[in-house]
Amino acid sequence: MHDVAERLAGRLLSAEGARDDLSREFEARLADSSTLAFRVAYSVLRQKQDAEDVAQDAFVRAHRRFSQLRDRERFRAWLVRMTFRLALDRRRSDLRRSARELVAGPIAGPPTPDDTAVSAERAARLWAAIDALPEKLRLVTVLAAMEGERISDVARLVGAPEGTIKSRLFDARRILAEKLR
Amino acid sequence: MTNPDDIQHDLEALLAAADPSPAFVRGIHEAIAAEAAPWRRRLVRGAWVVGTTTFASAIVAGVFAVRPPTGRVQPASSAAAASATSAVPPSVSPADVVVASLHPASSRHQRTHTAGGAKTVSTEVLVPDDERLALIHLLQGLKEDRASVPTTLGPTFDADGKLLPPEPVVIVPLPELAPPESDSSIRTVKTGTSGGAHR
Repeated sequence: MHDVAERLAGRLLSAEGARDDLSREFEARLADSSTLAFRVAYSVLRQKQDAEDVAQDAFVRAHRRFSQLRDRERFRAWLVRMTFRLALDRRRSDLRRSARELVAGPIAGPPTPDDTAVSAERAARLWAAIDALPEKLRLVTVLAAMEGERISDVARLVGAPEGTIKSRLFDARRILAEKLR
Repeated sequence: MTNPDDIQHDLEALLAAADPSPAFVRGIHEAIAAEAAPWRRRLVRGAWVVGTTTFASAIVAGVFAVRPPTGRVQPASSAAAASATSAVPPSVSPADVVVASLHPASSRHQRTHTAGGAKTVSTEVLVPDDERLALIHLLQGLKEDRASVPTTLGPTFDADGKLLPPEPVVIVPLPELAPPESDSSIRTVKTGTSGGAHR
């Protein structure tokens, strides 16, 4: 009986240790990817609080399934796609719920103080043009505009070849230039 | 802003200006902790249940390993023997023994049962702990078909297959003790039917 108790205690301890390792690894990923997830959500929602809510939701979901993720190196790509999808869902539901936003058009709310680097009017036009892009082009455009993200990084995040990313970026910039002309 | 490079530059500036609040990461931690809490509570509770059960099982196993297989507990003194003698009535039926055995907590009291609306009073019997445990195990074994009464109690049928009459229960009276010498320091206790003298 003591053997059974010892084996049980050993299993509980090893499971606890594995959980601690997993928790530490997730913590490192969280520190590495939190701003990325927030900005992906912000590029869709353009409201800080909403973007934080969505990114937080994405991290909670990611934590729930983190142990099932076989290739942990793909965590960022997994998180980016999940955050983008959640942000799009949130925006769609907000648009459906809010008649005010339907009347105001695709730009969500007034320009925030964050837009000071670019004039409010230019920012509004740019966001409107980006909102009009197809989803695939939109995600690539936003990711490529993020600080430090190169084509190869974007390709890894999106899970597509670099040639595909270049092609999508070219199409997106052409469409944006036409819309903003 | 029609130049693609300008567009790219503006978009980079807009995204670079968007930083999460300082409470963002803390909120993630809190949300994860709030979601993980029920799971952790279940794990801790399960560990406690497993640990307590294992500990209790080890204690029970240890008690049975140490306890001798048979042996009646003898009264420690003549006074205890006298009180036991006074408590056991001349004729004790097996039902009374069972009643006393299965209710150890109240075995020092007379028990009142209601059978068909009529109240009957069971006789109080003092039973040693080892016999009480053995009887409880026997009854549980019978209930779970782990024990057989004929093999336990000996032959029940004769060679012709007729049911043998049960052997009479023989209760050997304890030898009478010599009355104590008169001593003023010894206080006489009256024994009544309520059993209060044995407390």
